[in-house]
Amino acid sequence: MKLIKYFFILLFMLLCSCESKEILYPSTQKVMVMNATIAQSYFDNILYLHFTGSDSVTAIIDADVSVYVNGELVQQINEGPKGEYILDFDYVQGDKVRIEATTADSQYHTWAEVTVPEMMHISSVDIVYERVSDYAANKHYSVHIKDLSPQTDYYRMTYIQKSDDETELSCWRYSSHIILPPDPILTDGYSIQDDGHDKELYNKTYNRYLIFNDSKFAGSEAVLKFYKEIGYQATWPLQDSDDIQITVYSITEEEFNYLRQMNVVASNSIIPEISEPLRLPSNVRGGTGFVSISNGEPYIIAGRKE
Amino acid sequence: MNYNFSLCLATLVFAAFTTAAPEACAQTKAQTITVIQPESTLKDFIRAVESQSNYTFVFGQDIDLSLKIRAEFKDLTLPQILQAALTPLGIKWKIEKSHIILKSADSRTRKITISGYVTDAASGESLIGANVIDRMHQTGGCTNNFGFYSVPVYVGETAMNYSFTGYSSQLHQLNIQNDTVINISLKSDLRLEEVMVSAEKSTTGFYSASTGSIEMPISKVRNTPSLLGESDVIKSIQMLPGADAAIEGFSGLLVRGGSPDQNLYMFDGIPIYSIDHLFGFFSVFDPQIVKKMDFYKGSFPARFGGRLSSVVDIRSNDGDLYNYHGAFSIGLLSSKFNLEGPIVKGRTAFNLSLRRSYMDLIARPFMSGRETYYLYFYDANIKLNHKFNDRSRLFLGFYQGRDCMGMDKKSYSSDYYSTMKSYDMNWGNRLASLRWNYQLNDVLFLNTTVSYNNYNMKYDNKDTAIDTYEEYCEESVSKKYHSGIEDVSANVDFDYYHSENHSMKFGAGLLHHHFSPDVETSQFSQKENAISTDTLYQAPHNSELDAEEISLYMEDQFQAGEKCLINIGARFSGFFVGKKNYFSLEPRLSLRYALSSDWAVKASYNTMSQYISLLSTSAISMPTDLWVPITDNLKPMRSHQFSTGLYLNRPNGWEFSLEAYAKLMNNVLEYKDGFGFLGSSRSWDCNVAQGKGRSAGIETTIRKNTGRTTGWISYTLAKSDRKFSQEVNEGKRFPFKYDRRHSIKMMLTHRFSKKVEVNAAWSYITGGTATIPLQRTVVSHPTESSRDYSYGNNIPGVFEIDYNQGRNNYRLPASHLLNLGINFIKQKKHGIRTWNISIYNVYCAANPTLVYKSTSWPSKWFAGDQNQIVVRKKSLFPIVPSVSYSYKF
Repeated sequence: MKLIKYFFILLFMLLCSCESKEILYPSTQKVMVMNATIAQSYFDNILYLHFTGSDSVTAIIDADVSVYVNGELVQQINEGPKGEYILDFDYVQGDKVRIEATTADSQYHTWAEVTVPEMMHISSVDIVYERVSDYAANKHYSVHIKDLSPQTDYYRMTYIQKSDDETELSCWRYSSHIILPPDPILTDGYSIQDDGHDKELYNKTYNRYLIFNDSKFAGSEAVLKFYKEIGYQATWPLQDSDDIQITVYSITEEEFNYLRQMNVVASNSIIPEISEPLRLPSNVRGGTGFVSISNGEPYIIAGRKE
Repeated sequence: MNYNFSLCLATLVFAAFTTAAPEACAQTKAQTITVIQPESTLKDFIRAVESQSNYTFVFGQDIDLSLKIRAEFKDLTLPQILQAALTPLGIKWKIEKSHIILKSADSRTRKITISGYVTDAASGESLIGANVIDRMHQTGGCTNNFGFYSVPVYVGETAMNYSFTGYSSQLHQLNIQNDTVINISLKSDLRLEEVMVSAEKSTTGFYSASTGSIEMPISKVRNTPSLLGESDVIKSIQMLPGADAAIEGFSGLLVRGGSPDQNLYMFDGIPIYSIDHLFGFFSVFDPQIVKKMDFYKGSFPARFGGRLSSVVDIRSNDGDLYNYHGAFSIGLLSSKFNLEGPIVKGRTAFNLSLRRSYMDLIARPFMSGRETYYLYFYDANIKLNHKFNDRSRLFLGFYQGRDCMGMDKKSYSSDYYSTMKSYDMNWGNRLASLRWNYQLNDVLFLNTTVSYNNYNMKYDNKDTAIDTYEEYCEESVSKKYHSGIEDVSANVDFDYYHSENHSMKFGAGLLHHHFSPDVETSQFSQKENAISTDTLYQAPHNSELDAEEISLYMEDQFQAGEKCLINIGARFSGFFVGKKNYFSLEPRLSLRYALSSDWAVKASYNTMSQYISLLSTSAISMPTDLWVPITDNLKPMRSHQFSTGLYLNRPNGWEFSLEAYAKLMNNVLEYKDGFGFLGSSRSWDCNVAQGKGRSAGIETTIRKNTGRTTGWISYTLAKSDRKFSQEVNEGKRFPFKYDRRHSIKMMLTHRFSKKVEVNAAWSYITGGTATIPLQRTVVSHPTESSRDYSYGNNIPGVFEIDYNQGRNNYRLPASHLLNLGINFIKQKKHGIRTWNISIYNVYCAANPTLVYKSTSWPSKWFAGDQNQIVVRKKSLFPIVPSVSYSYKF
């Protein structure tokens, strides 16, 4: 909790008449919600369909979903348990993908169209171990990439660690575990790192989804730097057997803006007492939600096997 | 205008010489002509004669073309007509070739200038807007912002009348042969205190060309009943049509569909950035030091610029040159003290005023020694003025006002372990100005100002933990933050009085801005026995920025004919920031046409530009709000406003006005969907979009200025909306946050006797808008597996958040409020004592301050009952009585 919240609490404790009255709640019509974050490297690509609601959302399980690539119907789905519709279609960069969804009673119809961005490759990844104490080390990554074009391009990076017994799942979780030094590219517009120290006056927005643009390396090469703490290991060289998958996706400008605001949500930096309520952008016609397609080739680093 | 006409005639003369001279010479003077103009001017007469003959008139500035003439001449020769028409006016004439040469018969038609200062007889304080009228010819002018006037009069006998609201007028019979300086001291007359006389040449009010401008009487400001008895300049303006408060009880000002940062507040000619104390409950302008306040919302004189929606021009008292006197006031929240008097009698004077709130002092005895909280504000204003001679005066002003809040807290968990936590936050303005007034000659007045203006906010927080169990160990975290804007400016302004019907103002200004939007450092210290380590963090967004602003302006006010008054001007400004230079040309035009002595119509067109804006978190003024300049990516905001009105001013003190306006705004700023100001200015220009705004409305006011009961009632019908690109509200037009359709305001003062007066202020305003998420939706976020349970949600890959169907989608309920105040005034031996009893929100209206979505749970659960989603409102300030005591000596 930050200081600015205390202002308002103090203000209202001192001066509020403590009167809280219910006033008119206008009736609102429910809206169909379509969401999908699509990438070929994902295990599953799921289209989510829901209805908005005043209290909570409702999953749409019996909608008709049609997927078109460059105007050609490539997939139809008629049911989606829990509102999840598994997408399975092929596309390449430059394709226009259009996803349509119609409820069983045909009263609600939404669609979204996305142009698949250009495929992004990682040139190479350098790793350096830094021993910081007898029991801890930092694993420094340098990810070499080349910008796709001299025009403005948008990217996001993911980092996945695959251990022997499980697949750690969440990009969100991983992004908070890797540490961003003052990297001019990955930290653009965001604080350095949510490292638990309450250094700053305000709640800050962190780059949870590791998005960036090419404003600092347009048309040329760049190195993305971050590191991960590896601690509490008694031996040196360190045991580091996990496989690492790093992917830099090319994304659309709309997805970049969407994820910028998702960073705000994930950082919990909204102060509801004084901020305007958050409103995420939507590219879904006839309803709301966001459909995106990212394009990037994973770069896998095998762990040290004894 | 005479001058222009003379030039035209001179051109015509030249043309006549070169083309028609031979023919004209052949013409006989015996030719008869007819001129029938029962009521006309000399100018009309000349035109009539020229149209029927080949003669042209030649004359100098000693001939007054506005002189009345009664011309009923039928079939007379030219010499006969000239003799009959011009001789009674004291004009000699002579026909030479094709020209009729006119000359003044005696010095009676020669004009000279009377100039000087009009001041208060008791204090020497200059009086702004005092009327100076030549009663013999019913011409004249009024004093400017420094009490200076310049009026052309005819040589010889004249009768000058000097008058000012609340003062006994003076009539002086004079015999003047040359340009003369006459300084007048008017005596205050308390019997006339409530009589408001509209200055005939003032820049505001019925007789001015301006639409939507008013001089707010300070007596009305002091009498406006308000929260805790604290009269407030800005809250008084909020009672005028077209001006509203962002939130009831706060001093933010919204004018004709504009946002709070679109108002220019000028304090003694210097722009002031933060006008609020205590988050906006009070403004920084203490009414006891305010001498004059003009409010412009329709026409903007060219000398003002830099904001789109309004100008509040406030002038403070200079200081009494002859006697010491002052006032003090004790209220529930704050106390004020004012003292003024001569340093060198008749030459140098000072004016000192202080104000401080004392909530912290009252609360301190109730706090434990381990915890101390404080919240207070103060103002200090000092002004010195020195009179070198009748032509030259120097003013030195200094103002500082700050709000301070903080906390000190100590806690002991054991004998060996203790923690200390403290924070201090303070914010406010510091202004300093040096002004020199010099009367260059009888028609040209110079005002030169050099000023320094600084608004900043400082925050200091320190947490310390001390452990002395085995070894001394101390750890502390210290955070410092500051933000602000600092200006240094130089301005030169000229007032030029060409004639009683023609005056000009022109000048130039240079302003240097230094922005420190947010500068933040953190220090981690550790002390273990004799070893100490310090780590300093500089926030990555720390940045400072400089910008330059220049301005040139000229405004010309002249009488076009008897009924039409025109004020035309232009302002050219430039803003240099980063790698970009922005320039703006802002034309201004105001017209007034007198339908009769009581009725007038006016129209105006104004363009304004704004180069800086306020990043704000909410409608309430917060110390964390940041002023930032436009950038390479953002263009200056511009507005075009058209307004027109019909006005009635009855001699018995009744006034009526009906005004309509339409305002178009370009490049106004709005946060993109999902973005807001979160305390950091970092990349702020990427988070906002520029779009268009428009507002239109009709305002009508009935006002009574004289008698025991004075005041006004007004009604406003208005609409304001915004439209942006796809990034804001999906490109759809949406209502402005402060769009309020209807507004009724009433302000009344009734004086029962010299000792008792009652004030009432009532307002009804339909609600603005707010963005309230009325539904829930789901959003997806990228995961490698699309199976993310990190939010504890049972929907993988997506999670629920609130859903806003559109910006400003919810219309707030209306607000209405009645405030009453009663003053008991008594003349004591050494001064005047006033007890004020006020009741704020008399009938305890629950007006919405905060509106939010909530869940309503049934009081008793029955089968089938469900919780309901509702919208709740929180209200500040129920009925608040207060009492204050003031003494003026």
